[in-house]
Order: sequence, then structure tokens, then C-alpha cells
Amino acid sequence: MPKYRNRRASSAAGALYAWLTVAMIAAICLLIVVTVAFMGKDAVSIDFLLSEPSASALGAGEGGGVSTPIVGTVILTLIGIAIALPVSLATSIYMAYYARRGVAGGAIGLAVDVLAGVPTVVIALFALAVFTNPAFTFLSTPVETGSGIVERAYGRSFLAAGAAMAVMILPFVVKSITEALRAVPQEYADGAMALGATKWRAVFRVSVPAARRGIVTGAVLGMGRIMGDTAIVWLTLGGTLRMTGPQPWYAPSNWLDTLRNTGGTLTSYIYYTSPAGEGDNPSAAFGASLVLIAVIILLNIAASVLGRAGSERGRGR
Amino acid sequence: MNASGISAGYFGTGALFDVNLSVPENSIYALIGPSGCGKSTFLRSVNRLNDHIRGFRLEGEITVGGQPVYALRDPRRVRELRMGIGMIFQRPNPLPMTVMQNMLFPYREHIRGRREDAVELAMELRLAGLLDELGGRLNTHAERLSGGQQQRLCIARALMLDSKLLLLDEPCSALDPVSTYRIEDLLLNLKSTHTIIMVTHNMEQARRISDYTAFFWNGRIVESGESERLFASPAEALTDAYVRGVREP
Repeated sequence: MPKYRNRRASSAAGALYAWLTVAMIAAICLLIVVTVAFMGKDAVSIDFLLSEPSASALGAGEGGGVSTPIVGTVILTLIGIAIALPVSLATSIYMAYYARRGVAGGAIGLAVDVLAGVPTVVIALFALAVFTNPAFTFLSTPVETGSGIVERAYGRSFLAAGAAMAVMILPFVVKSITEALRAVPQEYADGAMALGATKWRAVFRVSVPAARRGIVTGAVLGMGRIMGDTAIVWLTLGGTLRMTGPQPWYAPSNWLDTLRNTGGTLTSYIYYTSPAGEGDNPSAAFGASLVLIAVIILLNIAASVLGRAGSERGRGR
Repeated sequence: MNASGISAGYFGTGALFDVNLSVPENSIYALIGPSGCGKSTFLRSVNRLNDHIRGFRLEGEITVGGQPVYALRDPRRVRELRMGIGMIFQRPNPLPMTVMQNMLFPYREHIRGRREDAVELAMELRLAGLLDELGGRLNTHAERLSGGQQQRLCIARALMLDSKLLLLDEPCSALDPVSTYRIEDLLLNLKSTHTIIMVTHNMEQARRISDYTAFFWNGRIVESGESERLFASPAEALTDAYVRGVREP
């Protein structure tokens, strides 16, 4: 039985290879988290979380807290997903249930793939080119020439950056939701139609709720990407540490102006404070990194709870 | 239900060839035959569920209650048609909602009447015997029921639409014998008010509960007639071989 023994040996080698790979990936992941936690633990405090960044992060010990960057990250994520989710959902429904495999479906699929391959800095550049057009002044602030004539829009604001973020995550959310919809048994839609529902009602009332978990996953995937993106923040949110709108930025009467002005996010804060970027405050940078990772982990936990709440009644007896 | 000269196919590949079938009212008609012989295609043609499949085409005439099915052009009329025809699939397909919401779904889609009326009707149907079994737990999620219970829920749901014709596509093939027996019992009870067409791979089942049987082979009906006669003394050699479980005549 030499052949048999041989097969066992190769099977063991395969298992070892798979196990080592998993162990390595886990180790790298752990190493990053531990390093960030270790380097940032001294910086993170209640005061760090609740105070605003200082005007500059150039000098040692400067940088201040991350309160407005946290808010900036949250605002940007919410704007981005609020724009991207409805569009993605509609696109996915079309792709999964209506597109003929011919020209239209193929063209959309190709467009989505191409968009997924466009680097975020290119999307940011494009967004800036578009949003500086005077027609888009409502998204940011006007830039006036000496004589008071609006020459162009500033093009950098939470709204502009949010729109750019939506474009950036669109392909990923579309793909993820389309897969989720295609995984819904055809019997659901068939059954609803056999009961006389229109195709649209069958899809919208039955198939989409059944795919809820996958839709949540897709949305979270997109939100995670927004939180981690830097290029779009840098170019279309403006390179600022603080909220630049009328102060106090959190006053309800200033909300719209805050959104139309620039600000910072956790990622831009990290760039500003890190010696690798513009500042000289590595511990503040690591502290903000730790906060960012924590926020993303919290988001994922929330999503899995949300997804389970939706499907718990469904799956599993 | 009456079908004459039905030929159908997908993308030019034939699935049915010149099928003629006449189903008397208040009877159970079983369609038997090997997989892929066109039984399901035929069944799904009756309520035009194949319309949504690309490349599907059909010739011939199907009438339900004297109404030519494929003469309907307006999608609304097609939905009205489907309202009058209940369809049960091989895999129980409760919609992902509670038992009661499942029952109300068809009602809400069409009749748009008062919710109380719908609930009353659902209670009247006793959920096809499910009500007593569930002990009134109507807010249970439908997918938590057992397979047999789910299938009976689907039948009860189809009855909500006041349909006269029931199409069943292998309703018991995913179920255990006890659940199968319960469903057969239910179908026999429904025969007094409904016409039932049922695809089945279970020869015993066809023999037990059907009044008539049609034997499909490669998209054609080889033989059809009263079940008792067809199973006892088939006229065709092919039918004889199939019902006896012999490979080829």
C-alpha cells in the first residue's frame, strides 16, 4: 500500500500548509493590533477622546484630541453610505432580477468592475474637478474673486467628500448585495408570483428582505472602506485638522454649514500627527489609529448583531 | 383545465410536443414520468409562471375554466389568472415572514380588503389543520415550522385566494411519510371544492389518491386515463415498464 501511505503524507503536508498559512495571517493581524495598541495606549484617554485637535500638529506634544476627527469619520461614513446604499440596492436588484445577460447587464457588470479598479486618489481628483464647478457651490463654499463674483466652488467639504466616497464604495457594495440577492432561493420569488404578486412586489417584498443579512454585510463593507480611506479625505475634505465651518460646529443652526465646510477624520488626523505624514507626534497618531480600529470593530459587531436580528427568525430552527 | 396541442421549449430546445390533456373538475390528476420529461414545464405553463424565464415559448391553447390562458395580454389579467390558481412547489416555500403574514400575503397583494376579513378567512381555513397543531402560535416565523407543516402552510396560503385549481409540483418529495400522508389526506378533502393537478415521482402516491393519471415521456404524453385502469393494465408498453419500474420495454 505504498500509494496509500503517500497520499496520507501529502494530505498531512496539505493540512500543515493550510494551518501555517492561517497561523501566519492571524499572527500578522494580531501583530498590527498589538503594536498599535501598545504604541497608542498612552495617548488614549477620556480627555484625548473628548477634546478637539489643536491648530497645528507640527511641534512635539501638539495635536490635541480626536473628538472632531471621530465625528468627521462618522459624518463622512453616514453621508457616503446614505448615498451609496439606495443606488447600490437598486443596481443590484436590476442585476440580479432584471438584467438580460446580453448587452445591458454585461455593460453594467463591466462598469462596476472597472469602477472597482479605479484608485481612490483618482476618484478624489475627479470629484474635486467636478465639485469645484460653480454649479456645485451648494455642496461646499463659494470662492469669490476680489470683485465679489463667485468664480468657482471650493469643492472640498463633508458633502463633496461623502459623494466621492459613495462613488468609491459603490462597486463593492453592488457586488456584495448582488451576490446576496442571487443566493436567495428562486422559490421565494416564484412562490410570491404564483400567489399573484407582480415581479417587482415579489422581489421587493420577499427576496430583498430575505437577503437582508447580505445587504447589511455589503453596507458594512462599504462603511469600513470609507472609514479607512485617506486619499479622498485629503483631496476633497481639505487638509484641515479642525472643523472649519462657523463655530460652534455642533450647534444645530450651524449643522448645514458644518457639512458644507471642511474638517478632519481619524485618517487625516493620523496623517497630520504622524512623522510619516506632516507632524511629529507618533503617540497621538497611534492613539488615533487605535480609536479607528476600535470604531471599525464596533461597527462590525453592530452589523453582525443587526444581521442576526434580521435573520434569526429566519434561519435555524 | 383543458390543454390542446401544447408545444413548448426554451431557446428552440423542445420541452413539450403536442400535449393534449383534459382535467375534469373536482378530480385529482397525477402527472408521472421521469425527470426532465416536461411535467413541470407543463404545470408551470398553466399559470404562465414560465413567462419570466427567458427564451420560453409556447404554442397551443390552455384554458382554465373556459378562459384561454395565453390569450391574456394585460399583465394585470395574468395576475388575476394566477390568483385563481394555487401553486405548490417541491420545496416548501414559505415566505420569510410569520405564519400569519404568510397567510395574509396573497390577500394583501390583491384583494386589499380589511385585514380582519383576511384573518377571519385564515382562521376559517384552520390553516389546513395547522392551526390546532401550532396551538395558535401564528406569530412563529414560518421557516421554523417542520417541512411538512411548511408545505401545509403553503397549501393553506394558496387556498386564501379562493382558487378553484391547484397545481402541485412534487409536493411531497421532500417530506417524510407521515407528513406525506397528512398532505394526501388534505388533498383528498380539497377535492370536493378544487381541481388538483399534481406532478409526482411517487407511483404509489399517484395510485393512492389520483383519479386520473397522465404518463409523460420525453415531452409527450404516452398514455393518460383513469388511474385505476392505467396502473392495473397500461395500454402502452412504455407505461407498463415505467409503472412497474422496469428500465426499458
